[in-house]
Amino acid sequence: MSLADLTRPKQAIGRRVYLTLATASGASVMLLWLVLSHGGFVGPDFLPTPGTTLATLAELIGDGSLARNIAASTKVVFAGFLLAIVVAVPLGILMGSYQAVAALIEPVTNFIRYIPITAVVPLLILWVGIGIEQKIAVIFLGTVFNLTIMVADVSAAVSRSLLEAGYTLGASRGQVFLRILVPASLPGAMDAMRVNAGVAWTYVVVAELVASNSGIGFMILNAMRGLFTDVMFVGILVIGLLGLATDQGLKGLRGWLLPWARHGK
Amino acid sequence: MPELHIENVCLSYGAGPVQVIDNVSLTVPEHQFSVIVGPSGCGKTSLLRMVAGLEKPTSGRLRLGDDVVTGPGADRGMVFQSYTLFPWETVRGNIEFGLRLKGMPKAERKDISDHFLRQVGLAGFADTHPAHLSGGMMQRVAIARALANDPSILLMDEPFGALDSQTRGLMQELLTRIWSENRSQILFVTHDIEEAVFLAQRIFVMGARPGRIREIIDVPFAYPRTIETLTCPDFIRIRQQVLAAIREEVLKMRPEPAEA
Repeated sequence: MSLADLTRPKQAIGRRVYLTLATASGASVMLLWLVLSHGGFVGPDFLPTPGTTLATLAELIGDGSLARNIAASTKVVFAGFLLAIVVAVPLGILMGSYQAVAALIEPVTNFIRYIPITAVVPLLILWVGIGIEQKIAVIFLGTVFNLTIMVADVSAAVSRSLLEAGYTLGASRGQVFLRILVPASLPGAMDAMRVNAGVAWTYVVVAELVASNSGIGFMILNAMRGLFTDVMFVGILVIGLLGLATDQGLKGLRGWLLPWARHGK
Repeated sequence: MPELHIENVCLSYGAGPVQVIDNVSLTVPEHQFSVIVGPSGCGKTSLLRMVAGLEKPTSGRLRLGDDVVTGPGADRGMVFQSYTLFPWETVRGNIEFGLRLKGMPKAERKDISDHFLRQVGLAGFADTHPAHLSGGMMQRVAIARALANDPSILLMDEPFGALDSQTRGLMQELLTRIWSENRSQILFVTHDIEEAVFLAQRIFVMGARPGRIREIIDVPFAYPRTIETLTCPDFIRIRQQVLAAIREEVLKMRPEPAEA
């Protein structure tokens, strides 16, 4: 392994070098955090030390509040995102398969998906109220439009010759849709779900902005009032880990449900 | 097994129409292995796609026996040049796809898929998914899938075009073997002259721009054909004859002769 190998595009670098570089990158962030907090460069009200953060994490696990908040947020994110899947996947497949459906839905979808979800939170309060429905609606609206468009792209990209093969085997139009277009779109649809599951978690703080009394987003917002930066840090780390766990879960689900669809890696 | 009739078929594209096919008529008799050969761009694939019902002629008509072709149907099976196996189905699932559409009971389907799995030499791969197969194996499954549906005619659009030449040779031999067992009616399209002569009972040589039938050549060799067929004097003579016809067509398509 030489420097030349590292700078050649698409050159494989080997597992050991990869792990070394990845570890170095993570360690640098930790080192920077240690130096900034322990070195007195940033005050403890603004940046807790890693030690304090860990102690707070242990404390929040110990008193059961972290588990309660995780459960509350997970419920909101999963409910909102499952609704988005139920709407977006069938709609997206239809949209990518039938130009008429695309003409009906695409202009509206493309307009709405550029509106920041924060801009409609006041409207949601007015329409849906301030209960859990409002929080679920934020997650749903934050993901459903992009998921629809991404699934539509997937089904539009299904090879025409696959459909023609179906027709020459005697399939009707309906059978070509249900027995060819739908299964052929599923792997791509699951990839789109993984991307948007990450997005769903990023909306958890926005969802818990209004009238919440539990949830990781609530925990972070509440910590702000008392300048508990260590709690905020725990909250941020936990959201990252929950996002990662959701992603791995969906990846596993894809492999289990669709073993025939290998990743083009 | 009804005859295929192509009657005065023309095909044009666009408003200031580009004529792709000009007044083609031909008949593929029962049980015949016919091959259409022509230079690229002569419209041979379009002609085959019209037989399949995947494209409509601008004028003229196509019929299988008394049935005029109006769209695709299970009576005209097709093997495509690109790989068109359904990746979510196993090899057996692919072969049984058309039978399931017909609602055939499982036991009956299994008998048929077993038969064609054996015929294409993939008996050990029934439960494999297409992603684990080589290109040649995928095309063998595609042939089995089309034949399992028991079509009146099998349409093949350069099915071996994407394969390496060794595999292609083996596939050609396999196809003549299958044909000599089934005697199904085949219309096969290729630009490969050697392939055309090796496979066909009758060759339709197409001319280009617009596409039309230029010559009909009968090939007398017995089936199944083998690698020895390739070297017999008659084979070389017929190949030469087709080559000369196609070369003339290719030269006609060039705006000017190439400089030395």
